[in-house]
Amino acid sequence: MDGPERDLTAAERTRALESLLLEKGLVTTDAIDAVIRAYQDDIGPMRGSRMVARAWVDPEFGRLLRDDAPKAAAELGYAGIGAGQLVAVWNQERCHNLVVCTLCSCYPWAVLGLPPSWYKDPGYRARAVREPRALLREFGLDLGEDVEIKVWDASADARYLVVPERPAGTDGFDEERLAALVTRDAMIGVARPQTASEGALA
Amino acid sequence: MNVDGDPGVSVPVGEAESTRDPRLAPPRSNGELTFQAPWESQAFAMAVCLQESEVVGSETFRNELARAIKDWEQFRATPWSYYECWLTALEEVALRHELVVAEDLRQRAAELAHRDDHAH
Repeated sequence: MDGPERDLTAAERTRALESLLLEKGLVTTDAIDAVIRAYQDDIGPMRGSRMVARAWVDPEFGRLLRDDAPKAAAELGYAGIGAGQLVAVWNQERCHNLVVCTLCSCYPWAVLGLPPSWYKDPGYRARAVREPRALLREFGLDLGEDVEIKVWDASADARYLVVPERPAGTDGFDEERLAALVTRDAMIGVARPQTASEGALA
Repeated sequence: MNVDGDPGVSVPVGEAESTRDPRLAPPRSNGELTFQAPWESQAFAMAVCLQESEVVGSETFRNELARAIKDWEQFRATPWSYYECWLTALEEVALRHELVVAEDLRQRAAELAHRDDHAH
């Protein structure tokens, strides 16, 4: 074999694997392109934001999200990896939820898109469990000592979506305006949703 | 001994902060670069395709990914790269399920690399 002296790069390894899988018909370039396009353009945190906002304005949907989150996602037409294992956890005045996957990067892709790189970072994965309060402070979220932090370790069977508390001063907001306040970080639990006035500036 | 520069063990808070600056946000990715190189998106999509067509079980892939990450954490021989772990997991799963043969994989990679080395 006329191999290179140097180590193969990740790009070369990927192309080699792709080329063999294509030859065997196990994947197609169309399917690969469709997945990339979907995750870059269509599947993203806007889906989760919509679910949270709907739960805030529609108590019946809120109950569905609480009791059967996969069904709630399906009701909005959201399918894909992780949709069937979706679990919604609700923040309360004295209880804040934080999501991590200590083993790899389990994440509700179907409703939040691809996880941010810090979610996959070994530091985040370790510290979310060990010292969540200090970690959240570094994210700019300073929770009082009287607020309990629940850390949820995601798995292939349970992919968590944090439903934050509805911000004050949003009584007149419709679902769309509310959805704009719900950031990806708020649905992972490392931030609060934007306030009504922050939303007005956007 | 240099104990500095331990990559990937601190949460990149600066990056999290930057996600709040809308000027830095590429479209549709909420402030994150979704993929930093084309191979990352290719490797990602291949694994998704194999799971969606049920050639590979999602639990199987997840376990392999967790193992690849654990191996990296144990040795830290290279800078942290999530998608390198992803690729390693994908290769392992493809080999174990006999979707590809190790020798073919090595040979194809070498051919492609060789072609590139001579293409300048």
